[in-house]
Amino acid sequence: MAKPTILLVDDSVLMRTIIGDIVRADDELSLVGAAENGKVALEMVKSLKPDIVLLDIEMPEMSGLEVMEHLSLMSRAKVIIISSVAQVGSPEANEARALGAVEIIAKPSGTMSLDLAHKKGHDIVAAIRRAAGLAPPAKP
Amino acid sequence: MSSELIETLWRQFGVEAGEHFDLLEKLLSATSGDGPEAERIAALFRSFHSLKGAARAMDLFAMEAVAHRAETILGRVRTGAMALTEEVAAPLLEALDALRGLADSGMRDRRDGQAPADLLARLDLLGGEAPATRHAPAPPPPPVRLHENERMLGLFVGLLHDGMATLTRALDLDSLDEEGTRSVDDTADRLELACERLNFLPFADTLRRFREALAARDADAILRELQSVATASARIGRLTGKDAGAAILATLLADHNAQVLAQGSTRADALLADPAALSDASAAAELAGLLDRMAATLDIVRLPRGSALLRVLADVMRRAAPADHADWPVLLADARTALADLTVRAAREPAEDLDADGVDALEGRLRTFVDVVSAEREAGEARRPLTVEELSSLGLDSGLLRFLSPDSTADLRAAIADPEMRLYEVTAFLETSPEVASGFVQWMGSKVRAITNWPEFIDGKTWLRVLIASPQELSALADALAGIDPGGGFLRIRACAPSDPVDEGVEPIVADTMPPDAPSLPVVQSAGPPVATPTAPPPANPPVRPAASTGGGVLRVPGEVIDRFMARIDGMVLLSGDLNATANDLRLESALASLTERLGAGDPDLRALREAVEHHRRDLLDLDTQLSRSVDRLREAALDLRVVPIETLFNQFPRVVRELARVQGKSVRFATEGGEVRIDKSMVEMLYDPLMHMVRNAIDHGIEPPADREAAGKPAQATLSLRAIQRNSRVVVEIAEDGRGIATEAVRAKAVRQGLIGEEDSLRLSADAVREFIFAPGFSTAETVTETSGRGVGMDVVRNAITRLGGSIAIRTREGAGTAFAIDLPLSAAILRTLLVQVDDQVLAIPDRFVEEVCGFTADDFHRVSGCWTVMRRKRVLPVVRLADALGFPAEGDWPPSGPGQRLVVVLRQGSRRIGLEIDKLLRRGDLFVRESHPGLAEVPGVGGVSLLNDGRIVIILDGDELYRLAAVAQRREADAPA
Repeated sequence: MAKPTILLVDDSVLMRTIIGDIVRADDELSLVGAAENGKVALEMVKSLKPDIVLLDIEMPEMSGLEVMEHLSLMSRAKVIIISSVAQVGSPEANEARALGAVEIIAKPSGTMSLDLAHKKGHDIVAAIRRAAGLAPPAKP
Repeated sequence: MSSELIETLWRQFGVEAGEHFDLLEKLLSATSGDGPEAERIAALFRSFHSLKGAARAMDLFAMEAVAHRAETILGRVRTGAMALTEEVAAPLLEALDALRGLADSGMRDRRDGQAPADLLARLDLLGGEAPATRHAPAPPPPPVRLHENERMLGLFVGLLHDGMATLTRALDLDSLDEEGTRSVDDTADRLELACERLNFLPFADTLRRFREALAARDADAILRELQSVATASARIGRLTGKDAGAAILATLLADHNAQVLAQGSTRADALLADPAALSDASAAAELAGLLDRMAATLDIVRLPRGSALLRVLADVMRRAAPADHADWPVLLADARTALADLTVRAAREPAEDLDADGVDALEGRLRTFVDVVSAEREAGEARRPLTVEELSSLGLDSGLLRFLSPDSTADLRAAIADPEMRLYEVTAFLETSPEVASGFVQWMGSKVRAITNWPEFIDGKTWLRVLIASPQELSALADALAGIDPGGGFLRIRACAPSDPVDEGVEPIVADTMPPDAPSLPVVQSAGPPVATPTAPPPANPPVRPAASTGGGVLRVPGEVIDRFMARIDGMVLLSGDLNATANDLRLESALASLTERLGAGDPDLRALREAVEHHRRDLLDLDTQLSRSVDRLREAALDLRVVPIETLFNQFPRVVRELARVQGKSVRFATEGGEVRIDKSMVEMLYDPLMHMVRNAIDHGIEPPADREAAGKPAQATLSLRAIQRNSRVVVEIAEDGRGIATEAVRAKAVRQGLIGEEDSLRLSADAVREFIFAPGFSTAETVTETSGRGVGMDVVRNAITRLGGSIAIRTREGAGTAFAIDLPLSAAILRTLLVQVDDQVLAIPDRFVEEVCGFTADDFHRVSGCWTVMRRKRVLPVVRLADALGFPAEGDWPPSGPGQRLVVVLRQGSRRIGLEIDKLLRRGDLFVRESHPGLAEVPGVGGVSLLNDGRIVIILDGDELYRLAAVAQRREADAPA
């Protein structure tokens, strides 16, 4: 079976590097693109047709929630929100949920101490695998 | 985590944090009057928020703590709970300083720092929130019912509106290639999904059926489903009060239908006018196909009576076209009248169907006619004489023809058509033995069916040859004959085998090249029910379109394969450059020279060595020349792979032109020229929107109503032309009309009114310069917003699109005489010939077509004229600015130039205007493959794209028009500065 394809959307280069590194640690996932804002993300969704979109909420020009509104009408991709704004129960989290986000998880922290095993067991990887219907990652 | 990655992360962290610090600094010190306050607050919030996230990721928890508090405060400001007063801004600036410090120490020590406790406390106080508390989690809301969400509906309407134009491309299947089909299908797929998500299930079904029809390339079904899409989107438009594109689609569909009907009826009328010509099978088949297509269209526009009549007529055409039948010309004439009537009625608004009575009568007559004629026809067809070819294919002698009466021909045909029957030839001598003669005659009358007989003279005697048909095998017949003629001298029989190509000496290959469906055997038409059943399937080869010559020479290759191929050639170009550099490497020469100095020039070994080295270098240079020539050729050949005739683009316009003209009550002749000019495939798609916009403009604003034209002494019908001319590696696409021309004064007044220029300044501008305002963002001279233009998308968008393609656009216009826009484009969007220059350390590429020449000037040549530095070039004053100044780069060196040495000036041209750019260093001319530039970079003024140099350095490709503008701005700035 083809690996689930993932598009990463975050306005921060740093975050894209970190999250990209974590996702790439799992051989069964395929990171197909990274977008630095909502508009680029929507274009990339059109052309790349990813299975899963990892989406930041706080972005200039077009917020993650606006992106979700568009996505809900134009893509079958499952959306995982990666944001520290969207704490469980916050208005943003609720809106994201209402718009169909399958998971809401916090931005990675303490990345400097991550080794490969930790990356493989990371929350982000776990959330993607749940969304893609893959077995949970082995716990480090 | 690998140390390399960790280094990368720290570097990115440093850059990103630095950007946020600078932005925060600017935003916090800006006074609230500087721009929309809400945007400023939102940007502040986002920056602190991003810093918090970045700090957290890098384990800088003290920094995170400070950023978090600042974010909380901005969060409250954002919701309106507090204002961003000086009392709030001051501690935030303090927080910013602390963040800078913590980020610096973090990067230096790679370790978390310590946040000042008093600052944290003060920020907490402002944030009004103890660090530990969080808002109580609210229960998760129920999922939004999307179609009740107005914003979502709005988005959907937007998607629909945008997608509509793409969907209509399916109307023209002939010009829809694989890629186009995919794009239409993609759009329909997305719309289908959106419909599902919004619970518009019937609409989703329609779109699904549309996609199926598209996949099957079923033009009728596509048309039907698009009609449903138009209806559905019109409903959604009414529901939301927004334009869902239904009008566009409906107009295009109506136009498509009208076109099919109009073209169809013109052609059908011509065919019907000549009853004699219709006896030709291909003309009748063409007419039948035409009538069926028109009938399908009439079904769609809901004119059932007209559609039924045409189907009956088509059926008649397929079944019978006997030019010699007495009723035939009368019937055709009546059908022609009915068709003309129908054409007129269908073109009315709203369309009208035929009168029921008249149709019924004509239909009845046609049906009866078919019944009668098909019966006669079947009989007649069977009696038609066989041809020589038909006979020899049966293994019969052509001489037999003389002995085949119409009746025996009919018998022969019946025998051939009957799979049970076989043909035999019996040769009999009946004049010797009466027993044999009577036995034979009896046998003939009872056991076999005689078709014909003829006498044959063999050895002075008259023999009888008889052609018979029998279901029996040859051996059984021979046995029976042997029973009549035991001696075997008087009766012989042989089977008439269908011609065996080898025996006949015919090359088998001829048979292979014959169309398999064109047998020379007579085909007896199956006698179907003689009623006019509608929708008889059209013939397998509709005669309307000549068969495409899809010889083995055509390959379909996906665009990306060619792009990859081009990229490889790009790689070869780089290698060839390396070879050139190696060949020209003078280090070996200089080593030799110093060796010669030490050993003396007379040393014989050394001389031999020098010769060998020189020889080697020449070989290398030769090789380099040959290689770069063949790489050039290879690249040209590769470019050819990507090009298609521009016709494919032009062909998309006649329909639109006609419809727009009709809607606006204008009369427009549309002409195209140079359709054979080939352009890059990707450009066809990219040019469509700009051209469409300009065509609309031309009809909306350029072309006058017929009355006005006549009043101005012009023909009532205007001419709008699209023309393509190829000049070397460039193509000029010209859109010209003979309308009212651009009123320069109106443009000037409007520009002043819109605040684009001051009144006084505007009066000083040349007419050309005034007309440039047409390309200013948001500029539109149209006083009324029409259905098709004046929607806020202006010529600025057109120009941007063309600039992105590496092209430029120029206007020629004369009031009262018309306007022409000339778009000058490279044949390929991917390759750009540029001049490489260097400013400071950065290599910049100026598109070659903007460069007139590069000249050297000394410091003495520079003179100040009305505040600007200029040089005299060809007896004309050329203003010169530093390229670095124009681009806002930090500039080094003296300005104006002083001291000895040459100054290099690139003469930049735009249209008829020139400006000089002083550069530090001229590198070379080079063809660059333009790479997609980072969106961030693309927004920088003057930057058109990026490319890579041989040594891997990034070169920024400047946008010629924009560079010119920037240079002009720099020049004005200089003029305004005190001398």
